[in-house]
Amino acid sequence: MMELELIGLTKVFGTKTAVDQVNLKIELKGVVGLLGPNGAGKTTLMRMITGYLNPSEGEIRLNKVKVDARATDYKINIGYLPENNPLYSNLTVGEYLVMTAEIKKVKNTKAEVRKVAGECGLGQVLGQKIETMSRGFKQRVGLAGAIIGAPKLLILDEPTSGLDPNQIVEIRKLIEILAKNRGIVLSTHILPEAKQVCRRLLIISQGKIVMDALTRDVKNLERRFVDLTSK
Amino acid sequence: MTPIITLAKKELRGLLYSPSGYIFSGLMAGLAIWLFSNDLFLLGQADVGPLVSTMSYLLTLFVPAVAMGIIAEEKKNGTWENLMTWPITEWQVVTGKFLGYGIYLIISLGLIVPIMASMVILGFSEIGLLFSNFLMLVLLSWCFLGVTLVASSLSSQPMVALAGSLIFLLVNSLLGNGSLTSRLDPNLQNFFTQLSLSWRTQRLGSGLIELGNLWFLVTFLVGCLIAATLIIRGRNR
Repeated sequence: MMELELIGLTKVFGTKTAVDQVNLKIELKGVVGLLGPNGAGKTTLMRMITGYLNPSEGEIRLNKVKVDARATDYKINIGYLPENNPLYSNLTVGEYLVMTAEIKKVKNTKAEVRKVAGECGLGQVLGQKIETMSRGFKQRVGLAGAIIGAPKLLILDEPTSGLDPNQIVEIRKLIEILAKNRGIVLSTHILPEAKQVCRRLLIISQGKIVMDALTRDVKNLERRFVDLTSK
Repeated sequence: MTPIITLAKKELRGLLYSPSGYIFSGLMAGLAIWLFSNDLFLLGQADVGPLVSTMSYLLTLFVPAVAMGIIAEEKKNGTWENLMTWPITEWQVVTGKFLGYGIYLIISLGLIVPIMASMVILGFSEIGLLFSNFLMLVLLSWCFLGVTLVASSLSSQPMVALAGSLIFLLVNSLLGNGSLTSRLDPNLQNFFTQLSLSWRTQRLGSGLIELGNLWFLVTFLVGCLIAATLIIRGRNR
C-alpha cells in the first residue's frame, strides 16, 4: 500500500509553533479526517504537505523515500483544494481545467479534462465563466482542478464550508466517489460529516495530533473532541 | 516550457479580454499621439527624440498601473496558494507572468507605430533608427515591468506594488535628467545619471549602439526576474 509519512513535522512562525512534531502515516486510499478548532494548525499542516510551506523541522516521505515537498516531481502526486476555493474567476471552467492540466503536464489534456469534468458533474458547463457559477459548482470546479492529473493524494481544506445543505450532500458524495482510487485528507469542523465520510479520524490541537483512530472505533466523537481540544 | 507558456497565455488572455487592458493601452497611445503632435507642430520637426522621451515618461506611469497586480492580485485573491501547490517552480511562474505581460506591452507599443509611420511620411528617412528606437522602448518597458514584478512579489496589495514601483521608476527617471543630482559633484552626478534606465534607453535610441548601455538594461531586467524569483521562494518559507 502506498503511503505518505510525516516525520517530526514542525512549523514555527516567529515565536508561535503552529504545528509541533507531527508524526503520521497516511495511506493513499480512503478518507482521513483532520479535525480541530480554529487555529489548531490544520491548514498549516496541509500547506506543508502540499509544499506551499516549508517545514521548520521534520521531513516528508512518499513510499519511504524522503521528498522535497517543493519539488515539482512531488507536487504532481498532490491535489489541493484550499479553504475558500480560490479560482481564476475570469476563465471558463474549460479554460481553467485545460490550464491546470497543462501546468500539471498531463499528456492528453482534452481527454483528461473531459474525464474529470464528467467525474465532477461539470460536463455541461465547460463553456461557462466561473464567476457566474453557484458556490456549489465552484466547489466542483476546485475539486476537478485538484484531481486533474490523477494525484495519489487529495488535500481538501474545509470543502463544504459555506455551502447550502443540498450542495454539502453533493460534495460529500463526490468526495466518497473520489476516495475510491486515491487518498484524501479532509479538514472539517463538522463532526457528523467526518464520521460519515472518513475511514480514519485525526484530531489536532495546538499543533499536536491528540487523537488518531479508525472512525468505527471512536465512540462519542463530539465529547472526545471537546475534551481533547478545550484545554 | 509548457507551464511557462500556459501561464503566459493565461496572463495575456486576462489582459486582452478585460476592458482595463484596452483602456490603459488606448490611454497611453492617445497621450503619446497628443504630446508628440504638440512637439511636432510647435517645433516643426519630424524627430524621433521627443517621441522616445515622451514614451519613456508615459511608460513610467503606464507599466506599473497595468502590472501592479501581476503577483499581488493573486495573493490577494488566494489563487497564489493554488498556483504554488501545482507542479510549477518559482522561476517558471515569474517567467510565465513576465512573458504574458511582456507580449501585451509589445502589442500596446505597437499602437505608436502609426506615429512613426507618419514621421516617415513627413520626411524622416531613417527607418532603421525608428526601428531601433521601437526595440529600445520595448526593452525599457520590460525593465519597468521587471521593477513592477519585484514590487508586486513583495506585497499582497496591488496598490502598494503600484506605489513602490512608481516611486522607484520616477526617482530613476529623474536621475537621468539630472533634476535630483544637479547640486552634486559632476563625477557623482554622472554616476547617478548612468543608473537611469530612461537615460540609457535614450542613448541607445540615438542610433549609436553602445554595448555598455544594452548590457546594463539586459542585466537590470534579468536581475529583476531573479530578485522576484528569490523573493517568492523566500516568502513561501
